[in-house]
Amino acid sequence: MEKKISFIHAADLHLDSPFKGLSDINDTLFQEVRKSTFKALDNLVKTAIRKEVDFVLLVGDLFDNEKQSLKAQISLRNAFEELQRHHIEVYLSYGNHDYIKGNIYPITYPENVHIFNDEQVHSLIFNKEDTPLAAIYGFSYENRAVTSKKVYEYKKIDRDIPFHIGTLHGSLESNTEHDTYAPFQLTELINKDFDYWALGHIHKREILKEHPFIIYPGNTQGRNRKETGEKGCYYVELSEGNHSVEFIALQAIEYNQMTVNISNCETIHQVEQAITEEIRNLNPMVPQLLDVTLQSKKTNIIAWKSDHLLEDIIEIINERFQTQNNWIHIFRTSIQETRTLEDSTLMGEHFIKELLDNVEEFPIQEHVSDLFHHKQARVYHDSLSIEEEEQIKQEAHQLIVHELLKE
Amino acid sequence: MKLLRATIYGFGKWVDYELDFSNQSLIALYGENESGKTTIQRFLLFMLFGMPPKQRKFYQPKTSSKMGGRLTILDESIGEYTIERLGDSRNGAAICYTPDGEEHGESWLSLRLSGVDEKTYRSIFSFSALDLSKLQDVKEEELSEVLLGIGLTGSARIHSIERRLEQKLGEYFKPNGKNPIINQQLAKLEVLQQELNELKEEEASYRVKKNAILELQATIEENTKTIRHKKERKYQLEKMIQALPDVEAYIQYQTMLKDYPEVISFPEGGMERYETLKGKLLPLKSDLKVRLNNKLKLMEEKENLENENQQFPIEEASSIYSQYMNYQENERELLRIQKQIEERNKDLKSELMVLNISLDEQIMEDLYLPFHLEKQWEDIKRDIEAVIREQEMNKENIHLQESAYERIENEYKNLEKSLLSNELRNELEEIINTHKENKLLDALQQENEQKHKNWSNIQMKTMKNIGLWLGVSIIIGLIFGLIALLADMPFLFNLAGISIVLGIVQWLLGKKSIKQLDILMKESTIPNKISSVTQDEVQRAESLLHLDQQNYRELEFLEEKLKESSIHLRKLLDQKLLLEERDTRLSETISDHIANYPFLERVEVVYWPELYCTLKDLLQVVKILDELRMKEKELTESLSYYQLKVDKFLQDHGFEINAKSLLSKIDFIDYEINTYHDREKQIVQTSKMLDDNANQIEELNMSCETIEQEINTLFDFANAQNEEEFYQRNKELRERNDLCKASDKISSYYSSIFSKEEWENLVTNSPKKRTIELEINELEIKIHGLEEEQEVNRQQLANIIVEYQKLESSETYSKTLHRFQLEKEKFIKLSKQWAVYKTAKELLAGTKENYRDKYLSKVIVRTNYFFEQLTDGLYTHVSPPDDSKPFSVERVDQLRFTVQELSQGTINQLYVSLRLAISEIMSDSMHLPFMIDDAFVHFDDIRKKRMISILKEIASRHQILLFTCKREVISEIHDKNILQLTNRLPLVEN
Repeated sequence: MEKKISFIHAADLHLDSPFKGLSDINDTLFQEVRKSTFKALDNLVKTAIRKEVDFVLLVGDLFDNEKQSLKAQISLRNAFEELQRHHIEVYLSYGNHDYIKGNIYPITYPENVHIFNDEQVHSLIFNKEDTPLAAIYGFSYENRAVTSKKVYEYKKIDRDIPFHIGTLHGSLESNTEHDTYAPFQLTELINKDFDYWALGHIHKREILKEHPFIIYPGNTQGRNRKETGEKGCYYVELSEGNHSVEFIALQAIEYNQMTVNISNCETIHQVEQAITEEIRNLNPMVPQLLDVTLQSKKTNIIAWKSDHLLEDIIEIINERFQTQNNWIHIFRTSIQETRTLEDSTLMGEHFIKELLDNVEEFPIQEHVSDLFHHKQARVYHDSLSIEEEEQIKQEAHQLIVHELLKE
Repeated sequence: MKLLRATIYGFGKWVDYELDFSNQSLIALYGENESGKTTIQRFLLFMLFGMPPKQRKFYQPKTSSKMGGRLTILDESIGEYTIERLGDSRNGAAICYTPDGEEHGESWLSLRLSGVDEKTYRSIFSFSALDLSKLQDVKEEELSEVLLGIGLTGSARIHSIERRLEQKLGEYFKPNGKNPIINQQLAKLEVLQQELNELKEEEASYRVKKNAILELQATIEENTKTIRHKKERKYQLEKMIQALPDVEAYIQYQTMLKDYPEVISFPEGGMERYETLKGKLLPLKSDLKVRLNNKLKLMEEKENLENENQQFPIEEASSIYSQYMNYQENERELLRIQKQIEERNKDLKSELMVLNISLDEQIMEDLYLPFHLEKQWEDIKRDIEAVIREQEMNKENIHLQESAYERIENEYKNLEKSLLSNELRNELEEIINTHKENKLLDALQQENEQKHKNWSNIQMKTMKNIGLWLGVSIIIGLIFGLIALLADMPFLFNLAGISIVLGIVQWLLGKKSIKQLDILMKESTIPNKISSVTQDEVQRAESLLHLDQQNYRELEFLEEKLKESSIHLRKLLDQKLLLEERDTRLSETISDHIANYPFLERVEVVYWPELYCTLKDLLQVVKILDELRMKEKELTESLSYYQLKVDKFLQDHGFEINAKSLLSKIDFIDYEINTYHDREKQIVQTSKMLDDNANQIEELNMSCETIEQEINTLFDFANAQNEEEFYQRNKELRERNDLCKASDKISSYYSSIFSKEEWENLVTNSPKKRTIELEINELEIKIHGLEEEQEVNRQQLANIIVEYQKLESSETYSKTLHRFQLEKEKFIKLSKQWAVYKTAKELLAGTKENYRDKYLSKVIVRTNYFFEQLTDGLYTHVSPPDDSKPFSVERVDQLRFTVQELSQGTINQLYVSLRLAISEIMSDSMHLPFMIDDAFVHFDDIRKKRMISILKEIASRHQILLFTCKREVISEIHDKNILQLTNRLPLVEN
């Protein structure tokens, strides 16, 4: 008989973690957003059942300890029970967000769930009809961070077992964008001679290598504007001599970006039409949260923004698209003025030129300290990033210029 | 940069007007009020910066359709170029024509003007008396601000922006406020945070609850077990109390059982088996007895039957009986024949009666009718009939013939009388002949005339013909003669001669015939009429003659007929004689036949043939009767023979029988035969029954033996010699079994309640009821206590589980968490917006400050210069406003005055100085011409002169267009620098 296994590889479910950057959404959307991570989990279970996989690998960050809700774990348990009913095993490890010691809820998972329950790398054997088919290696985070090179601890056991699968929640040494936990190098993984490396931690999915497969599946549901597009898991089939993977989307709601050029719009209604037109063309498979960038060569866009007209039409558009089945909601609008700085100096306005000279070096921190260092308020926001500062300055500048030049 | 020329196609009141600035730096445009100075200013601004459509419409000339113009400019870097704008095309956009012949658009122009728009231009490069008059309205404390505001585009706007930003910031956030939106959001967040903490606390109790559940579940389980044990014990004891009487009985049974031997040998179900066997045996025995009796009876019966049969002559009886059938048949035949004879006799008699001739049966029997007799009788009949018929016919014919002869004779006599006399007849014939001759003569005369006419015609024609013939024959003769002559053919002369001769002969012949005919014609003439007879006379003579002729012919015919009739009559009389003779002959023949057959005497000869047929049929009947009578006799004999035979049989075998009839005798014999056969059958049956009986008896004997054997086996097993002993054994066994059963019943009943040991214990030392009851009481108290405790625990567990499940299913924390995040995002968003406003405000303030710092010192230096010039050194120093202090000036005597303290004139001078200074400083990089519109109206002559000299100085750097309506002003300026508007153009009323 041909030796063959199939499984689902997912990570970073972040169940019940709140979304970032959403402020003005109505209650219906809010409820859908809130349930989206669970819906993604539900989709994962359905996929596993539909594909009749042997097991499911969940490589860390199933939920967030910091914002841990009991609901997250109960729904996990329910999901595992559903898988158990279909005789699907679950192998899971905990990552930096759901580290073991931070978990306050003693939920008991059903028997089909096998957990890497400490920080030592060890292996679990998957048997099919009493034959060991796969050795799955992994470890869990006991504390908030693991900085040692866990990759050294992976050792292949029992070479008679046909498939060896490593699970690792961590990042490439070279990756400095994220917190580097359990760092590794690609060659180190390749040298282990495993059949599949199931990684976790990075939310953007990526196939690092194909022989063997070394894969970040990404998270299952985008939760901020940077996590755009389809999110999901990998369906993996390993057989002797043939390894194949397939990405399967699970997200309940999709973040996406959209750029609309409104240079030709003379009135705010034309802007509304232009945006509506673009959105109509989307025809999405799941509800969409859109980050819209408006491009224009004209200054009228600034005026519309300052007079809150832009806000109004976005609201109208949102109302229009929120009733359809796969609703579409614009949660953020930014303006890109393609007019060059030179143009504004051409205005011949000395004062405006002076303003521009000033703006570059303008220290905003000291001016916003009233709010940002306010005793109660400071708890709720992080200090402004350079990018944010730049944006504030830019908007302030635009505002003044617009007001000055207003007819 | 310098304006060189302006051409107005049409603008306001100006149509097709040209301005030449003559490459001068200082141009004074002089014109009185309403002379169109301002319009020219507007035109220049329009050329440079364009104009919105509404304003363009305003400046559309009333007298011309054209609107627009050209403006030629000298630029330092690219030289001369011309701007053209038309009001009605390109939406007022400019086209610039450069010296190299290229065309450029608005943006190019904007670049050339360093991006200055009209507003900026006006604020920097143009000022007028109006600005100064405005200055007077300004409140004292703001004066400083206004002065500073010169050159800052819409300094008032900056101010208003600042105020608006301030207001926004106030709306958004106040560090100690409550109502601003950020403060509100903050409060909201705090409430949510609080809620979240509480919920988290609640969810954290999940672990505690789970432990409590486990603990309680364990306790409850243990208690349940204890209670169950106690209850079991209690139940046991209660049962014991119930069982006590039974236990005593059990003990008693056990002692009684000891009296019986350990083992009693008795077959299983012995009694029943014995009873059954006995039950079977008894019927068998009685049956056997019955069958033996039957055997004897049957044998006796059989013997009797055999004896009876031997005495009966069966064969003889059967033969007689079988002949009886034959007898019956004969009897029936006899009857049938007798009937026939009777019928035929009757028929014969009636037949004879009908004939009614002297015939009876006797005669019939002797009568003989030969075969030819029928033919003879037939012939006689026919002859007589023929004779009679012929005689009648003859008689009738004679009569007819006689009457016909008489009639013809009468007719003949009548005709003879009507004939004509001979004289009359001749006379009539004469008349007719005369008439015929006359008619013939008329016809001949007419014919003659016609012939004469025809003849003269023919004569003419003949004359012509013969002439022609002569000519032609002469010509032919001549031709032949000529040919003969020319061709030297002599025979043709002959021919010519012949033809001429022929011609002459013909002519002569013709002439002669004509002459002859002429004579003939003249000879034929007609004779004249003799006499004349009238037409009527002729016709009457003719008809009379005709009638007489007819009568004569008919008379001849009748004479003929009379002759014929007399001949016919004579023939008929001859025939009558012949017939009478034939009749006599026939009568003789008939009387011969009557002599032979006397009965014919009473029969007409005509019916003799029919009589013959009837007689023949009757003779046939008589014959059949004879045959039938013979058969009757035979049958009667055979019947009487059979009767004798029967009687003899009966007598011989001694059957005495009273019945006399043959039928009853035969019946008797038949009965006897049947009885015999019945007996035979009975014998066979009886012997078969005997055989059966013997078999059955044997079988019964064997069955009885088997059963007796089995009974003996039972007795042996029970050690019994006989039935009595067997019954004794059975009784013992039953009693012992009853005891065992009773005690077993008791023990088995309690085996489900007590274990084996318990039961034995109970039996060996049965406890006292009182002790047990005591123990039960104690147990009940304990159980009650435990149950109450259990109830409490259960309730507690249920409560905890409810809470636990609520926690598991609760989404409150999750919801609040998300809500909190949402509100936090909102807060951050608002904060950022606030930050933008705040930054904008600070940025604006900072820029303003920088801006002042950068330009103010320069401006003040120039202001000093101009102010000193204007005041002719009266004021030496100007100080810009400080934090608290407003603008101030220092007089030459070193006295300082604030702006408010100065006279209006001085303020005006200061304003103009400041304005000029600012314009100069600001226009460092942009050399656009100044436009000054009578800003010095209120200056005195000295100051005006000073002003002009200042302007002249500035004009070395910048072109200045000075619009004025004061002659005093232009008097200070060189003529070539002056453009007099009034002189140049007759004003068109606008």
